[in-house]
This record gives sequence, structure tokens and C-alpha cells, in this order.
Amino acid sequence: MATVNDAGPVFQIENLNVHYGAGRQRLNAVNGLSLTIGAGQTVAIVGESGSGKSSAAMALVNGLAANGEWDADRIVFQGQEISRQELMRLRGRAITYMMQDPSSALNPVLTIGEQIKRVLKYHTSLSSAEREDQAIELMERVEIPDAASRLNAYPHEFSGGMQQRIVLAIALAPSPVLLIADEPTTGLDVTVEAQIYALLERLKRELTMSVVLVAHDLGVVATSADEALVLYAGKVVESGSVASLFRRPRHPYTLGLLRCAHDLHEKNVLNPIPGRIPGLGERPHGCVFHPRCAWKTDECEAADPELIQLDGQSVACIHHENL
Amino acid sequence: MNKARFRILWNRFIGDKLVVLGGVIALLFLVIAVFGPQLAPFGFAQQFRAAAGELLPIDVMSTTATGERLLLGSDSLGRDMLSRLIYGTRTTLVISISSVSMATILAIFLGSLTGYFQGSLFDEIVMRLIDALLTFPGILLAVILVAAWGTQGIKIGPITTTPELTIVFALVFTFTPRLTRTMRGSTIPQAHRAYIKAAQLMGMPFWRIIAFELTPNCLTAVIIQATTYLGLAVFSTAGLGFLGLGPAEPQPELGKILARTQEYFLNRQFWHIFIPGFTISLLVFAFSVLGDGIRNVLDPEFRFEEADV
Repeated sequence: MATVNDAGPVFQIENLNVHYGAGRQRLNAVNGLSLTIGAGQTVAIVGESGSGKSSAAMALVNGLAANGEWDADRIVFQGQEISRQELMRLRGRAITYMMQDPSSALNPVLTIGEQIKRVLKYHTSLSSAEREDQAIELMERVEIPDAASRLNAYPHEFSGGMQQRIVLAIALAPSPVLLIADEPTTGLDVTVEAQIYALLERLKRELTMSVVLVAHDLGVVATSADEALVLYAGKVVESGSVASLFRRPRHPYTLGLLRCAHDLHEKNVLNPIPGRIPGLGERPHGCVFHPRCAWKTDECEAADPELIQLDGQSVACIHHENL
Repeated sequence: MNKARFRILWNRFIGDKLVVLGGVIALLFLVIAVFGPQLAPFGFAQQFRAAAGELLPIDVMSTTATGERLLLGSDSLGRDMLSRLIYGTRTTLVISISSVSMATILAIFLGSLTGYFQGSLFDEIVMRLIDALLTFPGILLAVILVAAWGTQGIKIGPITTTPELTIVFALVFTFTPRLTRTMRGSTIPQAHRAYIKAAQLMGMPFWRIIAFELTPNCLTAVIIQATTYLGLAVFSTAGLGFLGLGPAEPQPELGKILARTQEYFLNRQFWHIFIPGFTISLLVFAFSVLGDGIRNVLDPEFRFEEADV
């Protein structure tokens, strides 16, 4: 499924750190995340709530909350190393962001036509009539029936699935190279979810666009992503191609997650990983996962394991051979 | 706004008979104000004399030496009461409407900026200034400002403003703080909504987000407050006029006319006070009721049924 790409990665970020200031404290939400994404690829950032996946995605578009800050060693966009300021200039044009909850991501007092057209107005040099045509084309592209006449409708006149299609149309309006989709199907039911992902997949191929998909649903990741980063408590515990990651997880956390999903699906029982994800201020010393890990040894508490390169994936666990 | 929605709102508006009455009265006053010069039988400064040559005595339905009949009589300077009332309504309305609209525009501007940049230095400075202005109770601030600036107009370099503008500015100073607070209050929750974040992530500049995304969602409360302030503005303008802080003579103004009716007391025609008095009351009533009607239409949480109880 992975697209062979000779022009090098479309986007690359090395050692991304996100931290939030809370009073005098500095809380790390993301620690040393590195991400490489090729043309037409989908890279998923997977993790449970509080793992830092949304913070990582938000940092890429400089959209962190006021008390949030991020830094990275190196940012490469389309083969060129760029600064943070240059990255910021790319957002909304070459890099767009698709919000989680479609019901609140659309402005309630503007018609959807206006909302699509204002993005075109700001990011392209199209004339007013061309913008109108382009808006209709975008709406047809995201499969909204009767697009031309729905242009003057308000967001509340659409269903959740249709609203998310419009959010997608807005994100596609500036013809981005990279789309960051932050759990694009939150609050939608399963059938609609499948439709949205199918649409995203098709558009990605048509428009040769790369996608960073933030998700917590492993089923979604398995079907629509090429590569995945498993995030736990702000750290990448395992990454690699979805095919190898799902066939042979090397990290106890990934294994736990997959086992959960598998058992729930096959045997209809839920075997959760014991314990809970540590909060921002209570990250344990050593391996972040050791308090919940069945393979834990004293070495795990002593030092934070580095990402170890294996064929097809990398893993941050000293016991990966024992799994 | 589409047709069906407009119909619903319109029906809600005309459903309340009192609101319709207020609307009709307000409209009537507006017509009088706009067509004042055409409607008034005489000029507002024109003095009439009785047959004997002295100024016309203050009386209702008096006839001048040259045979003009003054329907509501004249004031102590022999000027036609009806014409002065018409011109006075015009002055009062112009001052009230322009001060409320200027204050509202200013409040929308300041309120949306401070709300969007909540907690910033800019927000702190503006809000503390507003707190300072709010320490003065209502009309007192306007009285102080007009007294300080004088009723002859303000000199700004070579330009001298009209006396009316002095009062407008004074009223703008009294209304803006309260309206700004309302606007800021309705902006803050909206500024944290996802669609604002979406616009930021779209790379839109902040002024565009405030002007086109945020503000249209926050106007309801400030518009409702502004309409109720229209009645207050008429009341304040007349109040200033009554206290001798209205526009300078011979410019008529409802409050000034009311003050002059004191002279009729000497003539034992105390009821004369009801002519400008009733006009002011009617105006304030019309605007207040109209404000209620607009609230009924715009406020999504205000239930009509409750209002009828």
C-alpha cells in the first residue's frame, strides 16, 4: 500500500517536543517525536486520550493553546529545511487541519458556501465567480448531493456526516500537500465513519496528498494508514509500517492495545491493560510504560529506553525480543 | 437570512401588540424628525408679536399681530411652540440615535478585540479604563462632560464641533463602557469555540477572524442592549437639556422646551408642561417597547409565553 516516493519525504519533523506551562510547572506533553511522511502516504498517530497525539498534531500547525509551546530539531518540507516561521506560513495553504468535531468546527452564522469561499478568497487569487464554481466543485468532490443549491445552507441544516464532509471540503480548498486530520470521525456513527474514511482515502489518492491521521481506533488505522506511530504518555513507544506493526507488535503497549481490540472483536470480552495513563505531571522515571507492563524489570525503572531500529519498525523497549 | 426564518422572526415581532404600537409611534417620530422643516409651520427662532407690538403673551391658540395662528401657543420669547416641538424632537432624536449608534459601533469594536485577546495587556488597559468610567453613575458622567466642554461646541484645533456633537460625545462616553462589557462578555465564550480555532488554523489573520467569524456570532446581546439604550438616550438628552446643558439657544431641544414650560406656571397654565413632557414620555415608551420587541425576536432563550404571563 505504501507509495514509493523518489522525491524524498513530503514532510519531516525531528525531535518534536510540546510542553505546557501550568503555573511554575512545565509539563511535557510530547517528548522527542519524529515523523516522516512521504507523498501520498498516510501516517497515523495512535494513542489513548492524554497520550499527546492531539498536542503533536496541533504543534504541526502551531495551534497549541496559549500556554503551550513546542520545539523541534529539524523541519523539512518538500525536500527543503524550513524554519518555524516558514512552517507557520504554510499552514492553511500547503498544510491544512481538519478539526475533530464538525458540529462546532463550522461557523453557525455563515452559510457553508461563504465558509468555503472565504478560504479560497484568502489563499487563492480566484475571482468571485471562479470561487463560486470552485466551492461547488469542492462540495461535489466530498460527495455532497445537490451541491450548487446547498451552497446557501447553514451548517445546522446538515447532518453530522455531511458537516464533516464540509469541514473536509474547507480543508481541501487551498489544495494542500499535507492534511492533518485530528480524529475526523469523533461523534459520528460507525457507518458514517466508514464513509468518511473511504472518502478521505479516495481524495488522498486523487489529489496526491499526504495525511497525518490522529486516531485512537486501531481498526481505522489498520485500514487507512500506511505507517503508524504509537504514542504513550507523550513518547513514541513503537513506530513502523502498519502491516508489520499489526503483524508483530514489539512493544508491550502496542501488544496490549491490539489484544484489547482483538479480544473485543473476536470473543466479545474486554481485557484492558491494567492501570491508567499517567497524567502530565506524574510521568514515571525510566520507561513511561513500566508501571503497567507485565514484562517489567528493574532496568525498566532505571533508564528511559531509546528507540531501537528493527526491520520495518522501531521500538522503545529493552525487552522487545521477549515479546 | 432566508425567507422562512425572516417570516418566523417577523411574526414573533408583530405578535406582541404593544411592540407594534411602540414601533408605530417610533416610526411616526422618525417621520416628524426627518420631515421636520417641511412639517413645522414656522421657523424655530422666529419671534411673533401681539397686536400691541410687544412679544406675544404665553397662551395656547394665540393669534399674532400679522394674523398667524399658533396652535400650541408661544414661549416667553414669542416663538411658535409647535414648530419648536417639531424641531426639538428632531434634535433630540438625532442626538439619541447617533450617540447610541456611535457607542454601539465603538463597543462592538472594543468588546470583540478585548474578548478575543482576553487577558492581554490591551484587554487589561481597556477594561480598567472602562471600570473607571463606570464609577460614575449614568447621566452624571454626561453632565460632567458637557459642563466641562461647554454647550457651544468643542474646539479641536481650527474646527469647532456643533453643540449637538458635544452632547453626543458625552453620551457616547456614558453608554460605551456598559455596551463594551456586554460585547466582551458575549465574545469570550465564542472565541473559544472550535470554528475560531479552525479559522486560526486556516492561517487567517486575527482581524479577519474577529471581523468575519467572531463578531457576527456575538451581536445579539449588544443589539438588544443598544435598543433599550435608545429610550435611555432620549431620556438623557432631554435631561441634559432640562438642566441647561442642551444645545445652545436658539436651537430647540425637548428637554430645553420642557424647562421653559416652567414659565407657564406663572400664568397658571401648569398643564402646558404636558406638551413637551408627554412627547418625551411617548418617545421613551416607544423605544423601550421596541427594545423589548427586538429582544423577543433575537433572544433565543426568551420565551414569548413567559412574557405574556
